Amino acid sequence: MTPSSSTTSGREGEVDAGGERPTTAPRWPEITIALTAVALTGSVLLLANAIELRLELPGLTPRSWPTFLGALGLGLSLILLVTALVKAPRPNTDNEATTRPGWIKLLLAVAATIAFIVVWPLTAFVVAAPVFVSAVTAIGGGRGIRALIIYPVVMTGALYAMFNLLLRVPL
Amino acid sequence: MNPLESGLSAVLDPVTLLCLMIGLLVGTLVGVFPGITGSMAVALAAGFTLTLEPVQGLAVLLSIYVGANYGDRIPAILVNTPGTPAAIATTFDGYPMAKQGKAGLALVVSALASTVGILVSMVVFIIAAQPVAKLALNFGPPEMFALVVFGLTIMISISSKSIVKGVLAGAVGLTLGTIGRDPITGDQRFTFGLNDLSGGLDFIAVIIGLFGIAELFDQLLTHREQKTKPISSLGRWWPTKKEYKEMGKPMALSTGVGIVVGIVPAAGGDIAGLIGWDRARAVSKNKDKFGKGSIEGITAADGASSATLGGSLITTMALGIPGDSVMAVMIGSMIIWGLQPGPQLFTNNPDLVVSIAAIMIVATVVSLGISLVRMRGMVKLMDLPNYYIWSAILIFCVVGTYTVTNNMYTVIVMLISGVIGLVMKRTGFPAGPVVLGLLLGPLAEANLRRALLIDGPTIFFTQPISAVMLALAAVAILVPIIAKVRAARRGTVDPGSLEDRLADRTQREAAESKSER
Repeated sequence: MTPSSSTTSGREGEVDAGGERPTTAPRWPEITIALTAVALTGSVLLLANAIELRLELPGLTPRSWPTFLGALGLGLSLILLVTALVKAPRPNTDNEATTRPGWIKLLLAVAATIAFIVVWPLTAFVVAAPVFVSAVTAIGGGRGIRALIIYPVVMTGALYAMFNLLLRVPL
Repeated sequence: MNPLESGLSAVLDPVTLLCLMIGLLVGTLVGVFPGITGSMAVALAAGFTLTLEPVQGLAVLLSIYVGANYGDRIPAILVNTPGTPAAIATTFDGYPMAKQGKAGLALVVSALASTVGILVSMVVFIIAAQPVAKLALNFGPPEMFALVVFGLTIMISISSKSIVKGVLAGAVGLTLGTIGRDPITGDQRFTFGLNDLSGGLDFIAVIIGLFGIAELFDQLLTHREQKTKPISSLGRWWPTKKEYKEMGKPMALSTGVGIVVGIVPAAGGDIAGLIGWDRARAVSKNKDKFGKGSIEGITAADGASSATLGGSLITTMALGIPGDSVMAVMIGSMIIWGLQPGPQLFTNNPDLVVSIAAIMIVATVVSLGISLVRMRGMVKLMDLPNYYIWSAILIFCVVGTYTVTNNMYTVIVMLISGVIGLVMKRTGFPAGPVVLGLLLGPLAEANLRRALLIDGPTIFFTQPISAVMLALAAVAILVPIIAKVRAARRGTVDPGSLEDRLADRTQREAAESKSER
């Protein structure tokens, strides 16, 4: 798929007004990734050393394997960091460029999912689910009665019937 | 009843057959919609099948696997967009055929090649799986540990553009596998006093997050309106005698390629399709027709990618190492049903192995039937707006995950895994090694500790099988590193992962073939 010219942005990784990918890549994304990896794997190493042992056994203890993995991860993260600092970064050609409306859709979809997770136990599946499906359909660009009312109700009914009646799993 | 009768009768049960038909329908639909992969669909369905009997659940999951393998060829041929990565090579000759008014013929040739590929690979599975499992029964702790390391490194070398990021992803997966109680002493690790974590991270929630939610979020992030109208003039359907004859040689070659690639842990239909197309072109008398609508080309691509299914099953069921990403999900579901894929499966549940083979064969034959019925309805489905698919995937992910434990905590794990998966995807960390690490981590740790306790560290290098597997694992990691160093010295472009290199090369060659006209 090729980027279209439907979005405009000057942010890294997003397509520009002409739909072209950036030709140069900044250094900070790889450095941020590497620093995050160093922090996470360093934490794993510290937490692994803090694992409480109820009894000392010969050979490897429950601490050993996580400690090894933490140390391996930290070593690899440091290699990533050095590479990010030393090597000239290349533009990311593996992923399609993001779009500003895409970011908005993503954040709204995550927010809707979190809201659904909170509301579902407080109400009932048959109440929360159609609202959730309708919201996500609207976020995706769906409009009209068929997309925002009929489809969510049918989807909820199908899921409810499948789980409660066929699979005997209460929702 | 002997295992053969018992396994077959379980498949012929009406409920199992109904599950199989549902799975095929879902799988075909999944294949038709570009962006929904087989692993994503199987991960989603895993949440729904856990309450079923194992054979019924496997009927759903395996038939999705088979159905997606047929459905993904439809958009590849009609809109030049592979429904799943396994159909990349189908586009090389399928779409040019469709543009020449031979879309119907391309669909039939593709379906026939896929059917032969799967059925031959299933014969190999039936013949080879038990001897492989018997051999694996002799594996002790050092061999099992070496096998896990081998599987993980192969997946890293195949799927990662950056070996460092791939190994790091594998290490993260192995670390996630340590969360919960220690498998030998029962000590709590990384649980932070939370009761929900003492049983470990829920595997299904993590894979639905990494394969389902992350992919969906990425589509939301990058989607642009694009309308490529499917080719509607399908033309004639059935090949002539001459065309059947043309299919023979590439069929035989590509099926062999597909089975071998399928056996390699973590290598799937995308790689096999590309290699199969490339090799068939190399030995063909009509090289110049490849990429321009060659029947040999489409036969080779689809025969090879489909033949990986049986090879992949051998590795998964006989060794307990996933043959591809769909099989990784399958192993997770089987573990939840109390079944451990691997050599013990053939001893403890021989009837289930028979059922698995029977499900695959029945699903393949039925899929061929569905493919030969002129699927104008399926083609119309490609016009369905994305917002319906996105909202359906999201609600299925949430509900499917919730039903695994009936606990909202599992849904939260899935959502967090999805966000992490998206970040990984955008930053070049492959998700496959994380899943494999999480899945096989406890097995690796337990066997490492046993081996060291019993025999000490030298045992890994004095036992021939473990020594060979560890050596192969080292080669799998070193070869891409050496290739990168060489490319850097020559000042050429980073060669990327094996998948990238194969896709780049064959796509370039297919484009060159077209421009030579």
